[in-house]
Order: sequence, then structure tokens, then C-alpha cells
Amino acid sequence: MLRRLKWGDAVIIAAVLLGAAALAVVLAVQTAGDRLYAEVWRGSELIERVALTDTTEQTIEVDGHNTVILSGKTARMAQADCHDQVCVRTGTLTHAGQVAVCLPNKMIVKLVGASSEVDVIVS
Amino acid sequence: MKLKRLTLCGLLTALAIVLSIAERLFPLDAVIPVPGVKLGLANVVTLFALTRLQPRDALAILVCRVALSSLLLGSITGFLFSMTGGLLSLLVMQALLHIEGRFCSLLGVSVAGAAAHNIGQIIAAIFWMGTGAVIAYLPFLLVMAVPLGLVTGLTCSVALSHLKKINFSV
Repeated sequence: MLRRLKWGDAVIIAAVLLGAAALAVVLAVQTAGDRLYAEVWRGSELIERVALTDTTEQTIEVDGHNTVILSGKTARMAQADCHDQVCVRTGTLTHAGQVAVCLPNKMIVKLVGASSEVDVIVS
Repeated sequence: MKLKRLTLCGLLTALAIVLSIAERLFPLDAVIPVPGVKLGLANVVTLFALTRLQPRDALAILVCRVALSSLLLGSITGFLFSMTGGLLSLLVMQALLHIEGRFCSLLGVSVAGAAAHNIGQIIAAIFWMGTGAVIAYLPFLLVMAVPLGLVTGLTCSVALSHLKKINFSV
């Protein structure tokens, strides 16, 4: 295989990997913060936004199609009625920026971080 | 001559569909839980068609393959993602084939095509889901595009060198 490779191939491979790394960094910076939230989306509509603490225990059911379980500072898609089950197999999300997507049901569970200051609402 | 080309297009479409079905035997997304992760064996056919036939033949084969294999195995969403990814991949590979030989090999073209396929898939997913959140999968898909693209590129490259030995031409 190495005999077939030319220097341009290395440039292409490096470009793809650099693009991946750059995007990963941008996404990590965007979702960073000292507080952790779990967000449940149906398409572009935010259904639930829950601040996660060590004692969080909550089950969210969405239209009877998907079940999300929040436990401590983690979230997982526990059940989905779609055929591919990709979102369920994604497993437990533990870090900001991680997502579990259910394409057939247009459902997303994601963990996002946020800085403390924007979360203080004085009323 | 025209008949030979048409026959070859039909044959390649059939081959691409068989490859799409065959790669279901190795469900990569069962091991790696990211929607849309697959070997991309049908890309070998697209790359082959781009190098040995006209770009429009490759386009026709791609559209027929995606439409038929979605009917046979998939869903509406699968069709949408494969078509967007496939078209973007074809465009990028066709552009890169102009510098293939001097600057890069088929392997590089294939890796770029695989990466373009992933980007196309994610663009379709963003429209389908109505949110940009799915872009979180893209870095991972791009990293996977390198080994998977090398495998499909190598397969195509080996097939072409064998065909050269039997003086195959269209």
C-alpha cells in the first residue's frame, strides 16, 4: 500500500485529520463551562433542560417514543422505539459536548456546559 | 460502443447494490455507535466509474444505486443521507482526479471522497433534525474516513491494475 501512496495523499489525510481536530476543539470550547446541563431536543425544539448535580435522578419520556434517564452528572437514552437503536447503544453521556441522536424520531440528548454567571437570574 | 458502456453502467450499478447489501454483514455502527458509520464499499464503484467512464455515467450509477438500495434495505432518511453524501463525495473525487497521478494517488482521492461523504451526511442530518447538534459526530466520522477511505481506494486501485493486465477498456 505504501508503494502506491504519493506525497499529495499525505496532504489530503493530514487535512482531513486537522479538520477533525479543529472542529473537535471548537465544539469543546463552545460547550465548556463549570456547570453541566442535560438538554433534550425534538428537532429544533428544546423540550427539557435540566441542571445536573451529583444527586440528580430523573426520567424523561418524550411522546412515548424515547426515554431519557438522568442520573447524577450523566445522561443516557434508556429506550427508543426506533429500529436502529443507535442512540441507546451510544451509552451513557458523561462529558459536555457529547450527544446521543435518534435520527428516526428526530430526538437528541446532549450534555452542555455553561458558566455560572449566565445562570444567575435575579428576579 | 454505446451499448458496451450502457451494459457496464448496469453491471456496476448491480455490483454497487450488492456491495451495499454485503457491507450490512459487517455492521460497523453496532461496534461504533455513531449513526451512519459504514465501510462505504459502494464507493469503490463510484471511484471506478469516475476513472474508467464519464462523470455523468458515475452520477447515473450513484443515483440508481442509492435509490435502489434504499428501496431494498433502507428508509427515507437513509436515502436522504446517502444521496447528499454520495453527491458531495462524487464532486470532490471528480475534482481531485484531475491531479491524480502527478500529485496524489487513488488512495488520497478515496480518503477525500470518504470525508466529503461524511460532511454531506452531516449536512443532510442538520436539515433533517433542524438543529446543528449532530455536527458533534463529524470529527469522529472524519477520523474514521481516513482508514475506511484507504481501504476503498486500495480496493479500487488493485481492481484497476488487474483490469490493465487483461487490456480492459471501454
